[in-house]
Amino acid sequence: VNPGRHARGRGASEFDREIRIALRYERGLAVKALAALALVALIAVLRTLYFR
Amino acid sequence: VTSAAHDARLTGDWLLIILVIVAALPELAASWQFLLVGGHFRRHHYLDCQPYFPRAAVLIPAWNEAAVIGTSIDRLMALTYPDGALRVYVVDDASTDATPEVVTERGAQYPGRVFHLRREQGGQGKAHTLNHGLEVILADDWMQVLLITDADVIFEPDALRTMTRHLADDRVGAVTAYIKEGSRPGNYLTRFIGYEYVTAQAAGRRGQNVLGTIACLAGGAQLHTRANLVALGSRIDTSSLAEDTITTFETQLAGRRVVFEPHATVWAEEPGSIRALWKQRLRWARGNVQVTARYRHLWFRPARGHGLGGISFGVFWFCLFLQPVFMITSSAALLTLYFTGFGRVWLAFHVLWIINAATYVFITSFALMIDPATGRRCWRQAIFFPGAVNLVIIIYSCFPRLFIDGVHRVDRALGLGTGHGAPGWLIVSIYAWLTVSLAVAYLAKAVEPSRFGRLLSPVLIYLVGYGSVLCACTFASYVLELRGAEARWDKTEKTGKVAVPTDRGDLSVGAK
Repeated sequence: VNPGRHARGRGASEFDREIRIALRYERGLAVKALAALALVALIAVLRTLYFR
Repeated sequence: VTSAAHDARLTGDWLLIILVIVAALPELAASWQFLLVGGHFRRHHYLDCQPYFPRAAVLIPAWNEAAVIGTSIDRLMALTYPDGALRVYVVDDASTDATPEVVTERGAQYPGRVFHLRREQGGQGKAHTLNHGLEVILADDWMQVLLITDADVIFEPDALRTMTRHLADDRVGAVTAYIKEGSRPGNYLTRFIGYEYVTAQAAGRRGQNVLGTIACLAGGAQLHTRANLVALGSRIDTSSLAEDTITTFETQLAGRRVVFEPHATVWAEEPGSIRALWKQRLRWARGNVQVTARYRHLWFRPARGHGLGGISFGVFWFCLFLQPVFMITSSAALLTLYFTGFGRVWLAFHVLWIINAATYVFITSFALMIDPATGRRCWRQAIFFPGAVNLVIIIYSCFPRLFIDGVHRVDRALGLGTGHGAPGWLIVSIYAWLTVSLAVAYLAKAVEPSRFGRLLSPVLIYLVGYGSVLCACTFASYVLELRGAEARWDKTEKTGKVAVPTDRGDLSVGAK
């Protein structure tokens, strides 16, 4: 047993909360990636429609 | 004979077209790396984490760091980490300033937690200094994990424990953190670096997490298990200028994982002048040349147990490593095609720059969203990262008609002609620009110490872009390595102007 490993308990629930927050942030990045791609697509469409 | 000559000419022209388009590879690779960031929520290491607080030794190599070392130790002592499970070892590399006094004073302030290790014969480089500390730390079995950092690096309170949670998984050998540029008030160059770190670390290393292979543990924040250090021979490699990268590669070659923890934030002071930046990046670039040659048997050879031979990883590595070559060959190919009258040269140019344009919009907008705080501080540098001239070429290649009337007015005013298409002088200028930008970046460094340098250098950097400075450095590193120039460890000077977020949410100067 690793002496540094903490038992599950109050510290563990705080830990779980931090992991949830980190994962939520990472999921948000996927949405932001799609938003950035959408911006590229929008510029491409505007260029095709109005600046040929 | 005529037909054969024609065929040969056509083949040559198409080879040149390929050379032009190949210059878009680094942009495509960068886009792929950013797309991988979007997959980090699926492929990460968080589900294998556990609350874990091993006995941690912090190893700080220090040479004349009196301005910064005291504050760094104070911040380490204030980490949210169990009492008695954290020790700091400062290896003083024969400092000639007040570093020994500052560290000794902190040793008295934090008894049994801060240790001063003195090397009387210094100046051999960071790796030798680290090895002196490693020898002492590994001599007893107290240390379970080792955090290697720099004297100016300031850790946010929860940075260490967010890193150690990954080491609860025995398969992980090392963890690195997100280093942010923290100079305050800073200047245009430190803000360029701040934005660069969003792209290279917050984004780039997340992408590498998704691949399962990390290129380099940040020198200022690398956390190793004892087992990993012992497996590496209980010492850091001293044969190259890229000891961090070699440690990272060797860890993964031994079958251990390396993880980037983007939510562990540390702050560091980065160069505020082009000459200092050049010195630092030349050392890094020469180190990369050495690593590329040393691990030549690995590239593009997928293997079990590590991802260093993976195709994506190899493409990322070589696109950065060869970017100056791509820029020069692209310019040369465009000019050759233009002067030999090849009809499709304009099309090749368009394809190259439209890829550049799409990459620029995608990466810039995404990077500003990945780290919004840095984005708010560095948005001007994000926009001008490729340089004002490149931005104009991007807009010109996407929307040529916006420019053509104005260009003809200039053309007529200069008496150069009244043609309908883009004038020759303009075409030659933009075709040659990628190579010219490297020379102008070098000029920005050369003129910086002169009387007008303080004004002229920033103007030149905004014109050619920060990326061109890095590419010029990489090119200089080829030359130095080919010449077999002496590999010296040039330490980056630190002044202690790092500021870190406080509990109130504002920024306070960490050291002065």
